[in-house]
Amino acid sequence: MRTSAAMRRVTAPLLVLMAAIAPPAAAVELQDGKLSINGYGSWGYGATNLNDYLVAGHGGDFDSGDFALALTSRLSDRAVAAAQLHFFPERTGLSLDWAFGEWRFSDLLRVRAGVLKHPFGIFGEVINVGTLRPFFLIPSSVYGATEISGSGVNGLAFSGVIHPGKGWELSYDLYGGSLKLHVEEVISKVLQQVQGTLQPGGTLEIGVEETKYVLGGRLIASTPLEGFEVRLSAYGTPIREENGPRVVVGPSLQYTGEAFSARLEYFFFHETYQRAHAAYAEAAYFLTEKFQVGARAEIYHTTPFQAPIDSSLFEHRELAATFNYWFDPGLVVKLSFHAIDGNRFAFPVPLDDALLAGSLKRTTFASIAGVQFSF
Amino acid sequence: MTRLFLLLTTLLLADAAGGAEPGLRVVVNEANPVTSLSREELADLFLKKVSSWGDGTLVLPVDQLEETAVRENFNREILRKSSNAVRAYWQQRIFAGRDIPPPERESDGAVLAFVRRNRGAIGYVSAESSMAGVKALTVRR
Repeated sequence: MRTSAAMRRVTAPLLVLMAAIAPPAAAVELQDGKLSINGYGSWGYGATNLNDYLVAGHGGDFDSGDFALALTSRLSDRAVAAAQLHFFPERTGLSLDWAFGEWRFSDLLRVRAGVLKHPFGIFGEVINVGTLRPFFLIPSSVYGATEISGSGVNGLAFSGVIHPGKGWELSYDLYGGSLKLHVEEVISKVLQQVQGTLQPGGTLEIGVEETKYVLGGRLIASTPLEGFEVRLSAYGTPIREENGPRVVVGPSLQYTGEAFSARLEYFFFHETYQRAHAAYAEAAYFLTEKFQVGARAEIYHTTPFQAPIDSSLFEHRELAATFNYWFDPGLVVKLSFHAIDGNRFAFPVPLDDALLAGSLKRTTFASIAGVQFSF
Repeated sequence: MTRLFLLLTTLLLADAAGGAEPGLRVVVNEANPVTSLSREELADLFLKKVSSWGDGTLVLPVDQLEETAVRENFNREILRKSSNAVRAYWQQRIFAGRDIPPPERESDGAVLAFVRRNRGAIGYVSAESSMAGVKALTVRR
């Protein structure tokens, strides 16, 4: 534990330094464009008035840096190999984001196999890339440890695109294999509270759970209105799953214009032990070429099936605003303010002490400042 | 109100007619049988939404460097996007593991050399460049 903390103290400033000196340069391109090296990273400082909230801690938290490096190689006209390593000392350490081989039969059919990103919603494949969104934080209700969006698929995927004409474009993803999900056992925690088995010092940890035999897909319709698209994502375990059947389904709407962008997503999640609803709406606008403002509203609620219990740990409601300065499309500093109701993502550490004392407060205010970059 | 309507109508008609002269030429390898493309088809090739020519040859688009006037012109007139929007598009594609952007070349001469060397290549150069060894396409607007 000490080694890990010491490592974080060393790596976070290093990542800050990398972020600070990262030139707003294009990717490294080699071998006539057949090999490309890209990367992204971020670091942020967050503070709250009360509960810890993701990268923001009560009393301030400096430990949120991460960095990733992606390599893509076009082996031949039809064959592609790609891999991405992600270093996130605070959460997952060094991990393999994706590593796959792809064969391109045609625009209508590409087949890839290996460790894949989860083609889900708007951000499922780019959860950690901060330069692709207005807020420093990804919407946690959908893309956090709620078992809705996966961190990766190990298996096989098919994708393709069709151009029906008149400005329409339809693309699809179909995938099967095992899905890695970030999980936070809030239901178990509340059941422990009801049963009186909480231990002083206990808290909630984010773990990675593997759900096997997943089948899923995503449809994207890009409309004649430039920048406006509609998505439908769904996956489930129709064949076999240790914890019983699981289904996740939901639509996404996105508009990305030159100055204005807006997103709206809703997902429904159902499995043996719980049913959850997650949604958010966000909009952002460039007041000048460099200065962007944005706002987001987010809501999440889960209902456990084991017992008729309710808890603020099952709820999240949030209003947030962000103020961003883009030095370049690949380098941005962001300052955001968050008003949170509910303890699904905002709670004190250690959590069990607050539950035992009956002192858990459900309202949290957080502010986060950070830098995010990509090349 | 009538003046405002006339002004808006004039602007819309000007846009539909293709706008200003782009000051660039789109070039392909001499062996490529294609002689013309619509603006939309050209944009799909450079955004890698379409990957093959009609005969199955892989399309190899080549870009000019980001800061150049000819690239700015191409982004605005053909892709109908700002440079920032084009970069955001490619970031999305790269980090989703979908594709990588076309290679960049530092001059008209380097683009022409790439196009001469690769049968499926397509590039763009400033209007005054020599067309020796390549074929200029007509862009339908």
